[in-house]
Amino acid sequence: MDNFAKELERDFLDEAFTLVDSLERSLLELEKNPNEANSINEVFRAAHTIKGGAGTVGFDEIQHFTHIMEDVFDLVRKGKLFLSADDISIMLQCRDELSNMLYARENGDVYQSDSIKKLFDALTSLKSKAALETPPVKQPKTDTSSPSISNKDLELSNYDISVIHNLIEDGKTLYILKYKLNENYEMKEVSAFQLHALINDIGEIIKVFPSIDTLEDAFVDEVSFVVSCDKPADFIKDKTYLKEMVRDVSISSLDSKTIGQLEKPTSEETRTEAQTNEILPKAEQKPSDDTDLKQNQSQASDDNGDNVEKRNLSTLRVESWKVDNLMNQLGELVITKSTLSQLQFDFEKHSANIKTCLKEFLSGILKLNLSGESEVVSEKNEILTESLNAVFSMIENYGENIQKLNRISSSLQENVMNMRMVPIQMVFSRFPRLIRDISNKLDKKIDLVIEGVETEIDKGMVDDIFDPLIHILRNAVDHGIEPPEVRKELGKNESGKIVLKAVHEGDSIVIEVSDDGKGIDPEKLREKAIANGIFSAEAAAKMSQREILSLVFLPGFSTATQVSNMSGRGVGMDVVKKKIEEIGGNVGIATVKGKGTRIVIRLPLTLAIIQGLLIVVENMYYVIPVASVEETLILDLRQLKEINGRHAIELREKLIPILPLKRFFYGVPLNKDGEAKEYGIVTKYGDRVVCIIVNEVIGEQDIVIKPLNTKLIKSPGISAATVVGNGNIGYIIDTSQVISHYFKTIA
Amino acid sequence: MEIAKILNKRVGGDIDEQQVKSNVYFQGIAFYLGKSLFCMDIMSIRDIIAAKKIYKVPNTTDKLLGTINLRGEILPVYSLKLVLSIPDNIAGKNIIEEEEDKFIITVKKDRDIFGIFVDAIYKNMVATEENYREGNYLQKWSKNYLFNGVLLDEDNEILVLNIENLLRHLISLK
Repeated sequence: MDNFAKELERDFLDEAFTLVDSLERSLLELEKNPNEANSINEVFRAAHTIKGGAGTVGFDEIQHFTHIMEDVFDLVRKGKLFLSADDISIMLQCRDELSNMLYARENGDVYQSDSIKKLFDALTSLKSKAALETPPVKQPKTDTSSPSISNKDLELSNYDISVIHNLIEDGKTLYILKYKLNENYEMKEVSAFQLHALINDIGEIIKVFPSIDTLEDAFVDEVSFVVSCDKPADFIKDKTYLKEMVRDVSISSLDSKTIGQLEKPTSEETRTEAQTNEILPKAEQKPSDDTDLKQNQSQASDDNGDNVEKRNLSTLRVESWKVDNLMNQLGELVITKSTLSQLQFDFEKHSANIKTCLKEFLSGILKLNLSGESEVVSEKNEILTESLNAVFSMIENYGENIQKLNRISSSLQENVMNMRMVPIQMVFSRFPRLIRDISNKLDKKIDLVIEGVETEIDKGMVDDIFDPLIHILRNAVDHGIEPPEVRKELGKNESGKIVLKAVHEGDSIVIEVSDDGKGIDPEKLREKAIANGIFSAEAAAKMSQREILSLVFLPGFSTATQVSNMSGRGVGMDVVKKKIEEIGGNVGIATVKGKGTRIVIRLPLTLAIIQGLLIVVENMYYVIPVASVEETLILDLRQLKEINGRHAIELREKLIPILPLKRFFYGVPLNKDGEAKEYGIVTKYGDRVVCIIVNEVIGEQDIVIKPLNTKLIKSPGISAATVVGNGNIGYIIDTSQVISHYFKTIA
Repeated sequence: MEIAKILNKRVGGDIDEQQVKSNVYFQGIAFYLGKSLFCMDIMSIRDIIAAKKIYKVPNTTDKLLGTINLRGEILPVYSLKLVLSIPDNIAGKNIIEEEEDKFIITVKKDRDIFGIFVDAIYKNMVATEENYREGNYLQKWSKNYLFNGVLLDEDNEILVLNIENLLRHLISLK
């Protein structure tokens, strides 16, 4: 396949996936408001556009499937069919199968499934249901003297049409012959074939429909031919109208005017098309062939032309790997920038030393009062002073340019980062369907409110947050929202409300899922924790409500008394927490018994470059993400407290356990009697505060994350690497992993 | 035979006429680990570079010397000596300084890339039916699952690494 065809397919698939999403959205909307015109138009438009595109790229199974979907939506649009909730379910299943077909095509396969056949039948019966609901208006019989010429009866390909064009241009006379065959004819199976032979004797057959193979196989009640013949129409009629075999015949001549009709859809379809044109924004119409293209071009020169052009110019579709490559190179730039900054720092340090020494040196020389040679020496001193001063001003100038470079690279970083951002709608759009299906299964009424869909998120995170959000939403539907009768008794609205919201807050994206269900009972959690032996009754009694609530994130911890197939098995919230932490985020929970639960996920804006605190442990560089740092301290290890054999520091009258990284990473014990100062980095792990002890803190820097092959490099607590300013490799620490491993090992 | 000629030309090695006449199985690079010789199919080799600074990854196997920064990519480097139970005095250091006369061969197998630290490069080798043995011939060596066969070179028997099994072994290390 050539590159152009591949590109065309890719474009089609991209567009089709978007349309499939909008199809789902609109169907769900239609379920709520069956007469909502926008949604009706939207579903029709989606099916129509996919059908057209699939035809262009030759994905026949998709074209046929969307064709029948389009027919059904067309009936809805014309008010001939009303979609019940069950019908919507069928259409949603169609949407799923359509999506499967697209995925298969994306992987170079053709999707096959038994359910497609069933859905075809279901759609056909929907169509016939419409026919029963409103008897079709009888169309006046077409006048045979001006028969309608329709491509529908002939299925002419673009190639056929171009052949016909050429023949007409060459001055040939062309006819379209349509025969209705007599099914009572004794040799009806061969009648079409006989007809074919008769016509072949008097002219040249350009096209026959159905195809010649079909004619040989079985009886067809209608057959059409495109024929080039220099005899008049009556002559053809006389020769071919064999009464016992043919019920009716219509002959129309084909010239340069009528050929235009063949390129356009049939009269029925033309009407549909005309209506579609009203629905579709002009710029979104996809030309299906040359004629459409021409039409669009002529429209472009009309008043809508500006819009078409603007739309094409305003967006540029770029494959994500290209942006990733750009991001990698930007990473290299950020590292080089850090190296240059480090150099500048070193230059300044040394030049300050040189300045001081030079001053002393020069004054010393003056005091020496060397006769004879003193003039030469002072001359050389002057040159030295001048040169050094020039070097100092160059260093200053260099520093200014480094600042400039800093600014440019920061803005470049911001812009490239922006390119990776996509609206969170990409994730959220999949949930209304999910909530609908689960709530239907559980016989609950739920109103899902989605806010902040335009909030942008790094494309790399889209897949990572999907599963955690599904878990949370399922929990909300299954355990949060009460059944309608219970809600009624409690004086609540029968429909439960789940709000899914996304907002930007500083350097983070905050995703919030809240429900107005029954909330979590902290007392139940407390009892369960004691029963499971996680805490003693005494310890549990001392715990704050927040500490108790954080128990839901423990593996295997569920208060659900009944396990459903949705949730309640105690797997879920711990996985949610793990997944979110893997991408550098954190998750919190708040609940009011009887009022509802709110779960808040906080994610970093991007995954490629983070703000990190560069530290040194045993002469090796490490990075702690700034997001997990509460504060840094200079420690005097002699002040360490010892409780039950464990060390802690005292900070604002609170004891905080310590975690010496050199012990964790290198097994080197902490020398708490030594005079050397060490640094403490206070970090939070869930509700626990821990002080990580390191040898040196260099400072906060932009850290370019370099992935590690975790199949080969399995170091607990090390999530990735980076290259620091001086070219050394530093490892990025996952503080939560380090803390949980360390306390497990010393326990 | 044509392939052998082309390979010979491309490698520029001293491959004699006899070898060119025989069937070529594969072409490899032979290298030293201490005094022992080993060989690797060139199709698995991505780069051969002078040994760069290696940074130990804490809490990992000794056999993983650490990581290197190769053109912005962070790659693990292994001590093949320790994998083959040959003593290695550079292992265990936090930072292994660069050494111009030592080499790191980076190996690519599907999506995984890793480096192995070698003491010296011996020469290019061409495996033919005359000088290459496999199967039962390997039985006398321990850890022979890590090898594909043996190249006979004058008095030397050079073991040829089985990269697939080596990678599998490295992944299994704890």
